[in-house]
Amino acid sequence: MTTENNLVVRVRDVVKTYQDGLVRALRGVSLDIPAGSFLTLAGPSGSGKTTLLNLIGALDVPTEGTITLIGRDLASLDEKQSTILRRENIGFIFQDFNLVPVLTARENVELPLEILSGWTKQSRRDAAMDILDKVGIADMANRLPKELSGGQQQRVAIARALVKKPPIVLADEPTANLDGKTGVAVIDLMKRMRDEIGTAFITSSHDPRVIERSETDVRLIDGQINPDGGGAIE
Amino acid sequence: MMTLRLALRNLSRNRKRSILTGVALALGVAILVFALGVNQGIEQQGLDSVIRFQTAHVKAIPPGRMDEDFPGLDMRIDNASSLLEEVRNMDGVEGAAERLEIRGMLYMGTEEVFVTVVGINPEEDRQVYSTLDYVVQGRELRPGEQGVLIGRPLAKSLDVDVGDRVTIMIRSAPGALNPRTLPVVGLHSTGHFESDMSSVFLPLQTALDMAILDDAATEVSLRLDQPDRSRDVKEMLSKRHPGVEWHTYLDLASDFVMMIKFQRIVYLIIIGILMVMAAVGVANTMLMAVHERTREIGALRALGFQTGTVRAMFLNEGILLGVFAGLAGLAIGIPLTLYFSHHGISLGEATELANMKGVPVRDAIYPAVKAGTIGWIYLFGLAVSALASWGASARASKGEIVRALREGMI
Ligand SMILES: Nc1ncnc2c1ncn2[C@@H]1O[C@H](COP(=O)(O)OP(=O)(O)OP(=O)(O)O)[C@@H](O)[C@H]1O
Ligand SMILES: [Mg+2]
Repeated sequence: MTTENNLVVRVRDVVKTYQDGLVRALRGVSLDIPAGSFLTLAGPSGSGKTTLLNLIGALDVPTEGTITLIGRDLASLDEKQSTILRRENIGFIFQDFNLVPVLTARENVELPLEILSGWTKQSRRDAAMDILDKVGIADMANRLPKELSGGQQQRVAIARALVKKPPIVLADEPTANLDGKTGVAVIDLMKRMRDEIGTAFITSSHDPRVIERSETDVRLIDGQINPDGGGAIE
Repeated sequence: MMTLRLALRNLSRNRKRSILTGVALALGVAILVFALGVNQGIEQQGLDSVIRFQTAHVKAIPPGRMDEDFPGLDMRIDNASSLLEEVRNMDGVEGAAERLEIRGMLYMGTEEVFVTVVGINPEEDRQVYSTLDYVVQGRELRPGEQGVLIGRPLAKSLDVDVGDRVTIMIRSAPGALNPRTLPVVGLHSTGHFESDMSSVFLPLQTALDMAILDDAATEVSLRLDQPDRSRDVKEMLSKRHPGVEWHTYLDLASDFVMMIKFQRIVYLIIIGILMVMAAVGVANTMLMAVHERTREIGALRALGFQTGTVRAMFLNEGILLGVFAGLAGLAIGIPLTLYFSHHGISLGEATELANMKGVPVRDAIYPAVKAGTIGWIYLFGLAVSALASWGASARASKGEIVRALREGMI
């Protein structure tokens, strides 16, 4: 059973509204995510998946409720502190990869380490090559993003998210821009990484093939967690 | 380090746009180097020429003579040679000369023209003035001879050749008209049209004889080692010899000095306009870059980049653009200016016009190339580029991360 202590994320009664309350994107969400989970947020378009991921990732602040990340209440952090919290503890994977186009795969992977202290040039390079090897594209380390396929780019993005071995990786629809087969391979890769490194993955997806590979899935409907649990999709 | 590397690569990412913006900035810098070079050239040579042909550094003149339109010989410095001797031996005086200027007439056949007859001691005069360096035909004056040096344009208009005899008439000090017929020994052409048309030179002794004077001058002029000391020298001499008026070239060429100041203002305005144009180009490029990279910026900030770091990325990009474009500008501007500083920009027909407008240039302008000025222009170009990217970099680091990440997807 999960205890308070090994939770990486704790969401309590979170409400998020936009446009002065006109749009209610989340209407009272509570969620506990233990360390090393592989959790998928499912639910129809507009149900609040991205909103919830953004709040957990300290990219945005809830209108009501509290979010605790590895023991720290996000509401207590100012902008600079939440930047540092993200830098040290969270990896991000985006739907459209968002690699820096002028940097090679290896340089992209090194990027998160450049803003962390205690990494020498050599150790950054070794760590990047190591993780690129793990995601299976070490031989493409010197290519620019535009010289890589979508699936390869997303592998680089996964390496970039994992290179600092953070406790949490957030991935908003990481497979939406990939074909079905590649998407499944990417999800399998993320799970394998979770097994190796112990990072908790929180993803969102529409894709049934992705959801069925997940260990836990939480279904959002209209900004609320479906009490019937996950499973079926629209 | 990282932001610099990113900036460098991002500049080359949109190479066409970077080059286009860079070219605008570079041209601005190149034009500045050239235009300021020309301006400084005019100032330098203009002032130098005023000093060398008209004002000397410091000169003594009879009191009130400057205010007269047709000053006569009643306004003169008597015993000028002793004053000359005294100032010549002062510290910091490179050379000194006396001149006796008399308004008169010159006759050739049936033609007659007003002239200014200038009596000089050739050896002495060239220590202060350059006129004698511009004898282009015949020979220069010999001390005490009966001969005259006239301007080539005047000779042309009167159809006079070297060796021809002309008659010069002045009113002597006692008041009688005194004509004398002298051979033309040489023609001078200083490039100053007005004075080449009107000034004729005689040996001082010949002029004194015609004026029926013994030892007198209408000016005693000094050339100094250090022009900066002109005012001090003037102050000192005014105290010592209050009987004559002392002037520096700055007083005497005040019109020209005023014109220089005015010209500087005009140049500043031109510089301003040029640089605003370049700045708009840079700002536009940087804003476009920020706009295009909105999502990338969102991703970097999500990864934990501080806003300051993101800002530095764009600022560095603008500064780097300035560094390269500035160097390119110098690479165009300096050789161009150097070329003309050797070969001169020929004014041709315009010389006359320029002289009439009070710009004492000779027939060509030689732009100046000064390291200091060029350094300032380069820094200025950099500053413009940095300032112009400031706004864009501020925009890049502001705004919500969530929105930045979303904007790309729309
Ligand atoms: N910045 C915003 N301003 C206004 N409304 C917003 C904003 N962001 C999200 N919303 C609204 O909040 C609701 C939840 O949006 P969200 O993006 O979280 O849904 P989602 O589940 O991620 O949908 P999708 O599957 O299409 O990505 C939607 O109704 C959306 O229109
Ligand atoms: Mg979404």
